[in-house]
Amino acid sequence: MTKVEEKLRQIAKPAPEGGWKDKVRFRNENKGWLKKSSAIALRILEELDSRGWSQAKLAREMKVERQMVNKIVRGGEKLNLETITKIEDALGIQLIVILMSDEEVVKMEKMKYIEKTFYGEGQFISEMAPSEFNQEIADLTPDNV
Amino acid sequence: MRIIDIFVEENSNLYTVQYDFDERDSLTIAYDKLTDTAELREFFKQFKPDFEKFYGKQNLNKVVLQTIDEADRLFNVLLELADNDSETSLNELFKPLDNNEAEDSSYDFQQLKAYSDNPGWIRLYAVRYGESYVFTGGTIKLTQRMKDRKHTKFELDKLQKVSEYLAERGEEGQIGYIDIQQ
Repeated sequence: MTKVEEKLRQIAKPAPEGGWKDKVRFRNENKGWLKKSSAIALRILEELDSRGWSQAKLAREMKVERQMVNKIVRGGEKLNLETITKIEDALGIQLIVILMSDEEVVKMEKMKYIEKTFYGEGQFISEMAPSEFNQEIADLTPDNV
Repeated sequence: MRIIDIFVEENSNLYTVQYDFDERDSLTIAYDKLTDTAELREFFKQFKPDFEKFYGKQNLNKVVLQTIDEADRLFNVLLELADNDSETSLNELFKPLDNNEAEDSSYDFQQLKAYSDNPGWIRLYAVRYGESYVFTGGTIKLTQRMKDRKHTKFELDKLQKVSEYLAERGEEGQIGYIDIQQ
């Protein structure tokens, strides 16, 4: 052991509780919801940018403290359904969707592909109500798909 | 900037620093910063030209999520080392900075580009004394030299401050960063 290493041992204090090691363990144990919390934070920040809103403005719209919005956008909050709904209402966006057993999420790109392939670009969705669209797709899709 | 305390992780050769500007230790500050969604998004928006110069155009949200994943991965490596639960040693992961604090950019960035799913823009800085490592901080480095940007210059200042602080106690340390690309 070198001189400085010995000195280091002498002058160093034990690392305090609640530091990086505890935080790493916490994130490991809560990985699942933390990932969702980060994704929600990013979607909110994206929408704030596109509206030109500050976090304070969102807090006012949600009728919550500014600190709460600040915590949410940092991506470490375990959000409850009430808070998620408040954010959705304030920003006019959908953050979570509950899919029934016969539903699936289709990316806009895929929708555009379907539209282009079957109906020609820019014609179909704009001219048709969602119920008609569903019926049309159902009619075109074989029963076993 | 003043050094308030040096902390040692129990039964390890891993040290952290507490400065006068924050009550947290150097690695806790870095981990908090590197897993903060809003701060990272703001950072990558601000330094978009720096990022694109080396990594090309990428989706901002994806880059933020990749950075958080990488920070978690990197700190888990440190956690295993601190808990003596790893076959790797810090000696294998430590890369010294050269005298011009430039790092060998041609090597670094070329190598990093080859690992597109494994972002290499996070740096954890430490001063090495024999087998002991004093972690001074960590950040995202997107430019060739640390002095090119305020936030990396600040990390360099911390490295130098800790070096000087311990040099007064008799020995020169080697400054560098931890690289876990492989």
